[in-house]
Amino acid sequence: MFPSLPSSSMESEFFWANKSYCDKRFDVVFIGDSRIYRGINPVAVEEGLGSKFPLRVFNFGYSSVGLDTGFLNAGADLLDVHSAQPIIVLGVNPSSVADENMDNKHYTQEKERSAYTIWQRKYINPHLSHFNPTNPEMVRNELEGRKEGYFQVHYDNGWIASDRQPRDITKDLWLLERSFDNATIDLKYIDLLLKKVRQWRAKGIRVFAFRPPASKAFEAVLNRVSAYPEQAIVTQLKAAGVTWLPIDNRYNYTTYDGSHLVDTSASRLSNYLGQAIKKALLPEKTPLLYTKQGFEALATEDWTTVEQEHLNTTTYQGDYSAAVAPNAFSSTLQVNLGKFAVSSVKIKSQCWLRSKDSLPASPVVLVAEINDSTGNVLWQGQQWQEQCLRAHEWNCLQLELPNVPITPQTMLKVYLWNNGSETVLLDEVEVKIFALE
Amino acid sequence: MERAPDRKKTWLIASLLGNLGGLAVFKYSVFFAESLDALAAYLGYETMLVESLPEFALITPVGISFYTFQSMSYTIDIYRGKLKPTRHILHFFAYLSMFPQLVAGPIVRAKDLLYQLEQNTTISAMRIWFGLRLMVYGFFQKMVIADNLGVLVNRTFWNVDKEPTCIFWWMVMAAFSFQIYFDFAGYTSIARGLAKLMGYRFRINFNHPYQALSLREFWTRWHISLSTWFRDYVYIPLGGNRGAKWKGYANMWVTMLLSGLWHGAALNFILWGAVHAFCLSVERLTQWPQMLHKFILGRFIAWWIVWVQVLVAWVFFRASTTDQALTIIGNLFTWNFEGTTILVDKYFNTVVFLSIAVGVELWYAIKRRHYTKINPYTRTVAYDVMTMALLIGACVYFRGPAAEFIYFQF
Repeated sequence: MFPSLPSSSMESEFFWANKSYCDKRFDVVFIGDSRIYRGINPVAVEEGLGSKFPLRVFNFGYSSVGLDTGFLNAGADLLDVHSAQPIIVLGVNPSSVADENMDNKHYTQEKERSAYTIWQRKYINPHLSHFNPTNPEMVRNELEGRKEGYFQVHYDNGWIASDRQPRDITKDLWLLERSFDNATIDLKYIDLLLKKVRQWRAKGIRVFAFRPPASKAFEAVLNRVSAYPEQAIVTQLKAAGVTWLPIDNRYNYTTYDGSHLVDTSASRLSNYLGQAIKKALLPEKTPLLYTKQGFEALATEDWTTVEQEHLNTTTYQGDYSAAVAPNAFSSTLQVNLGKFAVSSVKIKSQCWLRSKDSLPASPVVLVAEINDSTGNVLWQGQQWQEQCLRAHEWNCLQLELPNVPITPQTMLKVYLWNNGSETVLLDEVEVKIFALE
Repeated sequence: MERAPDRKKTWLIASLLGNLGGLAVFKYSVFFAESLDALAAYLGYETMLVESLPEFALITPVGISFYTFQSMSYTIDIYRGKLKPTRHILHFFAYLSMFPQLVAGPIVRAKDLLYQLEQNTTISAMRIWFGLRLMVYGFFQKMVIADNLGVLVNRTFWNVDKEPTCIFWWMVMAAFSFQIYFDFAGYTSIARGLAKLMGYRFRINFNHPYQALSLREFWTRWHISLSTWFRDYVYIPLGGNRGAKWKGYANMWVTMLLSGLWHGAALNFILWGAVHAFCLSVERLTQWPQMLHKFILGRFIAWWIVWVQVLVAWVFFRASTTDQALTIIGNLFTWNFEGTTILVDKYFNTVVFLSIAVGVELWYAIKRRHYTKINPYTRTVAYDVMTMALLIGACVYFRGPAAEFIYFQF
């Protein structure tokens, strides 16, 4: 009956009190910073999940969040213990793993409010908000369908639909240049995040993660000033059990300030994520081939034999790993892909690596080679340095070939090539081959 | 003083020194110390008077300017024989510290309030209604008009270089003119309404000053309790306009400068007083309002000239430094009309609330002019109830961001 005007401060107070002291429980909780609380519309996520996965979604985003253990636990506490499909979705970006944000000032501020203030904001504000003030400009804008200035509507599900007119995606870039003057990405917080993810996985909680889209210029500046090791973090998260959600056409979403999505783009992204989660929740196809080289035996089917002297007792799993000397190749998987009665396959390979002594990552490459009767048709390698967080600890290295057409003569080789001058240790090399429809 | 009339001058001086001393210490010590430091530095000496001030002198007690003047008026009236001292010490303190007017006036005279304190007043239903009505009207003036106009004013004064266009600055200063008027008048209405609820009557403090047709008339309508205080206790004792003509002008200048200084311990306020003194001097010398009234539209032009003078003077009152004030005055009189066409759209709120402010004053003028025709409709219960409902609704749904009363700082 009345125009839906932008939320007032009273509604904002209720919003944050309700989020910080939420009585309800959910199946899916999105955890992250302001790019999450402005960028994820839970209703749109639920629509993306569809009727096959009727999950209750909540947005647990706060300003300037650091994904520290305390904050992660608070988000996880909102999961319904009886949920058949508990899911946590993390919004990971350089700011959310910066040490400066680990004190989570906004969240702490909300949690430190007095009991009376919380009670007032949760139970009195919704009634008092009927007396929210307005002004002639707001009424005019609403009647004319204009959005001017900062536009925010707070929803009970934790989302703030936002926009700002006029939009300016470059205005705050100068501020962004200075954003990491006093902040760094401390690997210990990544370790804690990985540890938390493994704990969740052990409890049966599915964990997804994505990098919230922003404008191209914004991301470029942020990556540069933060020296964000994105590939390494993504790989290690995946190795810990996270399903990483890549955002197709990530620069096709509209922001109002370079960083935060406008409400329509937020809904579109949320729907996309819902669909991506739905796809990931569907049972994984049985691979055509799954093979692992753990170096527990010298001879493993499909793998070249390992020399005894190359075995090492410092392991990721089991009793042995392999030491790959400089300018040498590791034990190699050789498979005739032509034996599979399909026209194309997806190949996923991963291994665990560490430097033998406490040395930085050397130029070691996980290689997948495709050869056929004509010779080498594809050579793809993944540099360890790009995916490694700490070389002196076991780090996962992953390589994926999403679409490999095959003929009866197509041969696959997977191996590690040490192109550096130091020996590296290799363990748990896995290869999965899936048929593509 | 009553018991020892031969020593009443001594008692008067002691009272004045006590009152003015307190005011000087708490309100003006920093200003005087800074001024003396600056003068000494100019003469080549280094003094650190500001740093030497005790900490308690840095805190200005709330309402000190108001109750100090009330206290002085009590003593001076007794000295002059115009008032008998009260026998009840509680009545005296009640007069000084009555809460509705303690913080920001109006400056109540002892002769107006003391006798009320001595009476047993019955508070009728009508009185309660009128008191509530005054309060609602006061809240409307403050919360709806003043606070909303203050949004653009405060934002603009934070960065005066942002928009130098002429029309924009006239709009901002017009907004400030109404902001300060309705802010203060609103407070006074609330104070008067509260007093009415308790059975006391305070005199009006504002009588639609922006409808004045001369600056002299303006000062009989603006902050009446303060202007009459200065008239009775400064201007007239100095001699008023009796005696030599130059003395009359000098007395007027002293009064206006002191009035400026009363508002704040800063050069800007003194300059504000000086601008008024200058304009009043020109008016007295030329008698231009009376000359203009003889012509068609003369009254309108006179009103316009008064309005411009008052508005320009407000620049000094609001600006934080003299440089800022001069920049703004430069903007007011530099014919730069760039961006004028989008002003209404860009500053829609301000335009609307300015229109409401003007409309409120216009309505009063129309009611006064067409008293007999309009009164039958406005002096009814239905009109009163409808107006109150409208004003309360406006206070709830169109209130501006909460802001302290401007005159609290004095």
